[in-house]
Amino acid sequence: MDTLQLSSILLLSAFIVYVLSSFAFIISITGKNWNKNWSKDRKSAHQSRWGTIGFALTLVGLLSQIGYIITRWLFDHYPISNMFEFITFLSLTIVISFTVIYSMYRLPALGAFVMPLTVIIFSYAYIFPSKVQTLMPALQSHWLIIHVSTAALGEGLFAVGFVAGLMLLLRKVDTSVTSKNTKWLEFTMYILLTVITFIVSIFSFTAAGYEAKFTELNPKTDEIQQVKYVLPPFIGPATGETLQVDSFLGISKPILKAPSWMEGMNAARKLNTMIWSLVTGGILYVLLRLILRKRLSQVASSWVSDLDEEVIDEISYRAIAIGYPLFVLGALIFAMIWAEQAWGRFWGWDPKEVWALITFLFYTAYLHFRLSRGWQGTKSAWMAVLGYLVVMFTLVGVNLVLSGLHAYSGV
Amino acid sequence: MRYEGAVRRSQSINKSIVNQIWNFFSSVRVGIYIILIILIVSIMGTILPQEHFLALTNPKAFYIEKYGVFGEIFYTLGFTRMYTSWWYKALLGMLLISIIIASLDRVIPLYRALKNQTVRKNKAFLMQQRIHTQWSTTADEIPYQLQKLQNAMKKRGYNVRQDAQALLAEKARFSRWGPYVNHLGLIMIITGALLMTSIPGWYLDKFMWVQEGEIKHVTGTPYYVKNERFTIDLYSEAELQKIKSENQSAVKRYQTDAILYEKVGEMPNGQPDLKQVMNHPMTVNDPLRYKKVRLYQADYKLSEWKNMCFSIINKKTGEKHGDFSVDLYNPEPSYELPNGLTVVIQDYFPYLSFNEDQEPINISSKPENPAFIFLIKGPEAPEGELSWAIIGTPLDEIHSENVYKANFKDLETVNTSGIKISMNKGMSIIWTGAAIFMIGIAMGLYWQHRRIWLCYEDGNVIMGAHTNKGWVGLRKEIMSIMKESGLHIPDDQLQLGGK
Amino acid sequence: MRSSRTTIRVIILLILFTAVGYTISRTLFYNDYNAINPGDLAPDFTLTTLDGLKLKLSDTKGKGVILNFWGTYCPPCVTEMPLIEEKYQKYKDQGLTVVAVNIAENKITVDRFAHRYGLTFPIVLDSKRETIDPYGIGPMPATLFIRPDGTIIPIEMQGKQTDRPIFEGQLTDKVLEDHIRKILP
Repeated sequence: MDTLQLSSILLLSAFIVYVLSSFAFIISITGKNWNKNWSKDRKSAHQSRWGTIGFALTLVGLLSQIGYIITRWLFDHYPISNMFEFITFLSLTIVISFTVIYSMYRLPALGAFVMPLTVIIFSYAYIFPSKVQTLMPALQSHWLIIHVSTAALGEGLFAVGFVAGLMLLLRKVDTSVTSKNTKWLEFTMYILLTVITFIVSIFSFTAAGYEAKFTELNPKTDEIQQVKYVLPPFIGPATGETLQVDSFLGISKPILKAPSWMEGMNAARKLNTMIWSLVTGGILYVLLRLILRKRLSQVASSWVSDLDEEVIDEISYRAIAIGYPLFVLGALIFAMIWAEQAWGRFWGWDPKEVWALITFLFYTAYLHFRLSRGWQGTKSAWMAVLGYLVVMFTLVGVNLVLSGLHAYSGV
Repeated sequence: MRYEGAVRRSQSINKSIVNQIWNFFSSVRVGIYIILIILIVSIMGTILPQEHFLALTNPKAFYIEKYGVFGEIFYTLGFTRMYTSWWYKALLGMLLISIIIASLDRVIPLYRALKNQTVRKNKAFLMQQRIHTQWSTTADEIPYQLQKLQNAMKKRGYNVRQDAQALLAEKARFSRWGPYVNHLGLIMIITGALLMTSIPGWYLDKFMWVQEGEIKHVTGTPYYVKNERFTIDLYSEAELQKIKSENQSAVKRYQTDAILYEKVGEMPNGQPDLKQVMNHPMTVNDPLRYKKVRLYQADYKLSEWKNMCFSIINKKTGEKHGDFSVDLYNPEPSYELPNGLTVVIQDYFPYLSFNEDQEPINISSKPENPAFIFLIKGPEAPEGELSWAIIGTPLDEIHSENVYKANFKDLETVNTSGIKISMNKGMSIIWTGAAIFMIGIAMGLYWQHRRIWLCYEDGNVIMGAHTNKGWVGLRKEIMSIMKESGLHIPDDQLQLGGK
Repeated sequence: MRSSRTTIRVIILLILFTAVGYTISRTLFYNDYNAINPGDLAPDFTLTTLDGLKLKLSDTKGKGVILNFWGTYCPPCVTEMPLIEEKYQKYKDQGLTVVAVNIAENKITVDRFAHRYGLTFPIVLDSKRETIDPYGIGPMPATLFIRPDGTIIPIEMQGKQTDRPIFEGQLTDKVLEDHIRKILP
């Protein structure tokens, strides 16, 4: 077994252990309701036992993932230079952040929300090719490691801030009545479902060997190129022809063509993936509603009903307050130092740079609302939730939707 | 942030315009709105690519053609060159003013308030604090209790002052200066960035193509750059095999061996007198640095035609009369060959084409389709014979009378490096500002200013505690201080969120 | 006390607004392509003529100068050359001269071209494009008109004076006549 194989095994085991730790944390917070006859002490013993198991598993997974980083680094380079490596790294930073915050507040419920998020993000990474790639000249710098690691650590803490914000909303908002807050919470649940169905669909269809092929005009080179869909095509490319479409539920050709202004290479495929995820997410949402006969947020809120609002509020704020300086250092200052060294300017209004600035401005506004205007509770929790959306767009959305100098880390 | 009772200066009522402007910029709410406006317009700017990434001759037509009406609106509103527009800079300027005035307005009152703190606070003030409690004790007991509490507090890094039967324990007061320190850093960054392009001579950003062997002047500086050699290294077979990559053309390194010269004077013939000051193999992440000037490996062109080599042949005898090499960028007027042969360049078209009248014309400064008219003089043609030489075109027919013939023999190519030259005298302000900013936000966010007040009144000890953040932590700390001092306070008596 | 506070505020506000205003006005009125402005002294250069002599622009002081940037590869530049020659012949005795800066070509190509077209005015070779940046030359042909005192005059378009120092595009008889009149000594 060579180092590369060892590193892949370590990564996969980290993934499995994170799944197990998610279950342990979920058992910890839901198990207390299993038996109504349990005394208060019994419940709390159950909670802390499974919480400890969950945290121990988290640490095992963390060590395994660090092992992956070290072995992959030894094999060739520090694994942070393409989408697969970066997204797995992002999940690592969420786990590190969680470990730090957990050791401060010892709240098993936090693990029951953070660890599943980690698992989702982690599995998203496996959509991208996991091969080691050659490092292009622009990336050959120690600043790659320093800039990305520090920024990702800040973003990991923002993720914990987001999760705690969501928990606070579930705790504070009365989910049994219809209100603006409940509607938005349901919407958030729906979005999370679309992310899950997106990842599950891609894995399922890839595993089943599904394929649809089209030709498409590449506007940059003016050449006709082949585009491969992994998911069934609702939307075909605006230009070009259908080569081959495996039948799925009777769909054997695209239902619609992408609008003509979407002329970027693969634009139609990305649109198709998005629509597919939104639709399947919607189906799953409706199914769950029918089975549970409750709002999803109502189910989730029962998990956090016994938590101290002040503590979750502080966790959300604390995570963001710790993450903010790290984010600024990594995503702005180190980025500026590296940009000055590699591109000859410290700032160039590249879309990725602008979005890092937008993230910075957003959390700056958050801190000012909180410190000077005394925002707490629901308002500030919504900002923590929205903030993570901005972070994810900066990390993934910019590379997929907007183009720019950072495009090389794309798919 | 609570401002310690002292009325914020700007809140004093004054209707004059100066004070209204001042109060406008002093407001944190206004500051946040400015931040949010910058945030929203910045998002707008990323919807379509900015002009400066596209290098267009007619940007308006481009946006209309590519994005239709939306593109036209976007262009007309100036969103395509937003980050250099006057109104974006105005927004940054307003943010700068807001930060400066809001900080000035608060830092002095805060300084005064923290400096002149009284140890003894009244009971009502303490009971108002978010964390507060009280317990009964006797006058005999109190000095003993206060001593124990003091020890426990000091152990945890508190600075404790006692005034009769009152205590004030304080920790990490410096973290209150965090916001002002980071604002100072931010002021320096924004000032540096806004000023750098505004002060003539502070900022230089140029791009130039330099051919191998060529020395070029960097306009606006006393510097000259020479490109010694440009090379591209690919990943080796072994390296690719190791990671099982099939990308045979994966580039490992772009490198220009560059020399930087400084003009130290002028030579008698008017040429600059150059002194070598720096010699550095530039690669993508490793620019040439000299004083404030940076030279970057930014682009390249491979294998451009440089020298063209011909041999003269006697058509009748087939005898070779020797070779000569013509620099396509700077040909000599004539070339002497053995056996008394001379080749004069009668005319030269670096990029030959023909106009409507079928006359030969030149259409480029780059020699990409070079054509020569040679006048070849030799023993068998003392007057000389005109002879065209065009790449890939057999011209034997029109020159059928000629004795001599110039045969194309060889082509020498040259690589060209795209070098970016930059100089930014504002950089040191920006880096210093960035360092100060980091120190400031770390001070403000990684430490908490905690204060605990205690006072004894009518048989009761009243305790109140305040922090600017991290209430759970403060509560835990107080619990452990109490426990260590032998005082037991039930959980629910130490209120959190009492206010 | 209160009036002194107001004074301090006035001073601080003035400083801040001036600094920000200055920066914004630089953006508004400073255009990268306009490296020079009408009224500026023409940036000096020394280049070699086709005869191998040095020509220093500032040595032409006392004469009105048509400064033309061109190349044989640029069709409108080629087309306007005979017209420039005509005006040169017409006004050279009244103190007009032409400096035609050839951009990035070799001596032989330019020299034969000048022969073919019978050009007699001074042509200098800028093989390294050194004049492009100081003059902010974009598309060619580009022409400037310089007074005997060395300053650049504003370009007139359709009878109206503009703030541009450079005429871009092919010269016409009218454009030449209009501007030559303003620069003759």
